[in-house]
Formats: sequence, structure tokens, C-alpha cells
Amino acid sequence: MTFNLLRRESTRHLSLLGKAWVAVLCLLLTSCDNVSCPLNNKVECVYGFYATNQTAEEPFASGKAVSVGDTITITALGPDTILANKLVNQSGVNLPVSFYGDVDVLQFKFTDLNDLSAYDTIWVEKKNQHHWDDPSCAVHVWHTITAVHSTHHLIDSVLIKNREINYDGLENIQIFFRTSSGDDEDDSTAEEL
Amino acid sequence: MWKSITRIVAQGVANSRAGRCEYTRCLMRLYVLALLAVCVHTAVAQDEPTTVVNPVVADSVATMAENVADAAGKHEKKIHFINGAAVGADFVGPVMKVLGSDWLHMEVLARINILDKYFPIAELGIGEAEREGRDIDNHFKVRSPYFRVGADYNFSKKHNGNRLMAGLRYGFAKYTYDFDSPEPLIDPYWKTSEPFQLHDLDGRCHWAEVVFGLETRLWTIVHLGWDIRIKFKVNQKRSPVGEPWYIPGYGKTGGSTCWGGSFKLLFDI
Repeated sequence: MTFNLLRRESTRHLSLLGKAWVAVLCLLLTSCDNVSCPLNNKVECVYGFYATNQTAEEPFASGKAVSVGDTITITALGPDTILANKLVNQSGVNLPVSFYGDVDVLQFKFTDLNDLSAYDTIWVEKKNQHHWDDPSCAVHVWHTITAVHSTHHLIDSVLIKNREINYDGLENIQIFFRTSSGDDEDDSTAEEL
Repeated sequence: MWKSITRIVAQGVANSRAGRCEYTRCLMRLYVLALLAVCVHTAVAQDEPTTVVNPVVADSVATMAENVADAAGKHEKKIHFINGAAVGADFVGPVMKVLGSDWLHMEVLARINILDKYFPIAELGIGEAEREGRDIDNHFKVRSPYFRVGADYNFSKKHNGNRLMAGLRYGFAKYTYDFDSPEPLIDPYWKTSEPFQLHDLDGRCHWAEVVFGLETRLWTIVHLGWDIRIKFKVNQKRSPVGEPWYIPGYGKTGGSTCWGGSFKLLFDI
């Protein structure tokens, strides 16, 4: 009887401690198992369109963003897959990147209202790297741009803005278009229809 | 009847003052048993009819019990500067694995008792995790040793083996991990594919922990204790391809902090 009373009293005094213990035990046993896959998980190269305003005095002056009135169709050379079809009045474009190729060759076809077309080609050299966020999330390939160059019919120049191509959606490549007539380069692929 | 109970307890107090007391040891054991049994007791008690104890008598018994404990305190052994050492092991990892967790850690520890107040401690363990994707059959795997060093402080005034502890830890783990996807990754535009199998990716992590815990003496040299701890990532190096799902010794990643705990059995040496 005495021991029963002592046990009861010990339990009473320890009730708070015991509840704390139970709470901690429950916390440990029922710890959350949440998965945080990123909602925006598109890996795309972001191109921005600009009008060049470089002059002899400022040969590397940056241009301002423009909206290209011509219809633009972009094709990945190699697989000959159309990545963007007949874009109009665009100030930029997001394009997929090859998972494993060292160089993506993209052909830009510009068609004006008179149905005249001109072509430019952009080479994007890059390194590829596998990426994952969680075992429960889809896996991806991220890229690091190492170099970019182009032909110069309508495109004046191309610049790398951000080398890393991942989920962040930042502008990766700036394309500067010619704003005045000039001599075309020898590697011309322009075509008039 | 209550008078006779009080008399018996009072007799116990008198005996304890004369030397070692059965009631003291009994009370300590009841303390531990109550700590363990109260989990079940708390859950079951909601459905049981409550036993009402006369509060006056209960208070008198409680006072007697406190006297017994005080009497025990008067017979504590002398506290030395180096008051001993202890080794032990943590059981949370194996228990969680049995309960279906994706991770497992096994940990041993050693500590020194300084003045029964300060407890420099070293913890060495091995942690592993195997994780399958929920809807995708991706597979993550890591297995590596880890260690922690730090110290605890005992807030309890009495030196009877029951301790209220708080402390700090520094933890470090160097590990390699694997990530496999069963299906090759297919490029939908360029129509190419490669296997997604990454092995032996290097990583290391430094972290700090703040620890709060309780500990009680079960028998002469045997202690039982538990603690909760919050962990702060101090520095982490990981492969650029992806963060490990689990870091041995630290726990599941996903933020700069992580909660953990231990349930340990210690032996004085």
C-alpha cells in the first residue's frame, strides 16, 4: 500500500516531466517527411533581344531592349527540331538546351511583312551537369555557357549575360540586332524570297 | 490507515538517516519506472476512471518523500574535481530504423565528469541513409562516420545522479554519396539519352548543436538519459550536382537548421 502511494505520488510529481517526454517522443516519431520539389523546374536558356547603339566612340555600349517585329522561327540544327515557331513582336525567347551536346547550333529565321527572310545562326558552347533536388523530384541537366558566337546578317553581336542555365530564369544571352544598314559579313546565309 | 502509512514512511526516514535506505533506492527506481511508464500511463489514463487521493494525506506523503530525498542528499559521496567518466550508446537510430525510418545512425559516447557540473563529451557514430523517391524510383545512398565534441552543464544542485543538462556540440562529417535514376534521362528535342548514375560524390559538413536533456541514475553505475538538440549548419561543401538528402550525424537536409535527439544508456567507469 505504501509503495502504491509512493508510486502514485511519484507519478503525480513527474506528470509534467512525463508529458514533456511523451511530447518529445511523439515529435521524434512523427517528424515531417515533406518533399520540396521546385515548382519552377524548367531548364531553359533565356535570350533577350536588343538594338545595338554602339558607335565608333563607344564600341561596346549596350543597347536597349527591343521588340522584333519580324516573324522569328528558331530551329535546332542537327535534330532539325523547331524550338520556336513564328514568334511575332517578341523582346526575348526561352529555348530548351540540349542535355548532352557540347555545342547547340540554333538557326534564327526572320521573315518580314513582305515575306522576305533572313537567316542567322548562333552557336552556344556549354558544359552539362546532372542535377537533382530530392530523390522524389525529377532529375534535370543544368548547363554552364562557355562561349557564344553568331553570323551577322541581322544579328550584330551576342553576349553572355549569365553563364549558368538552371531554374532561376535569369537572362543568359543578349542578342544585339543591327539598327542601320551596313556591309554584311562574308559568311552570309541571308536569303531573299 | 493513513496514520499507519505515515508512520511507516516516517520510519523509513529514520532508517535513511542511519545509513543507506531501501526507500531511497526504491524512490529512485520508481522515478525511472514512472518516467518510462508514464508514456503508456498518460495514454491509457484518459479512458480509466480517475482515482481520487485525499489531498491532505497525499501532501503529507509527498513531504515525507521529499524528506527521504533530502536525507539521501546528506549521504552523497564527496565530489572530486575529476568525478569519474562514463561511456554509453544512443538508441534512437536503431529504434527509428525498426519503426521504418530511411536512415540509421549508431553512436557511442564518452565523457568526463568534472565536479558533477561540467561534462566534456565526445560522440562518435556512423550514419547511413537509403532513400527511394516517392513517385519516382530515384535512389539516394550515403554511409559515413561522424563525430561531435562538446560539453554539458548540469543544472541540478543535488549530486544524486539525476541531472538536468544543457550543452553545446561541434559536429563534423566527411562523406560520399550516390544518386541513381533507374531510367536514362532522354532529351526530348535532341533525342539523345544518358544514364543518370552518380557515385562517390564528395561532401563534408560542419555544424553546431544546442542540447537540452535529462538524465537519471538507474542503478549504481547505470544512467539513462534523453535529450533534444537543434543543429545549425556552419559550413557545408557538397557536390554541385545536388545536395545530399541526409548528412550522417546532422540529419535530413533542406535548411540551415535541423532538430534531433538521443536516448542513451551510460555506464560510469
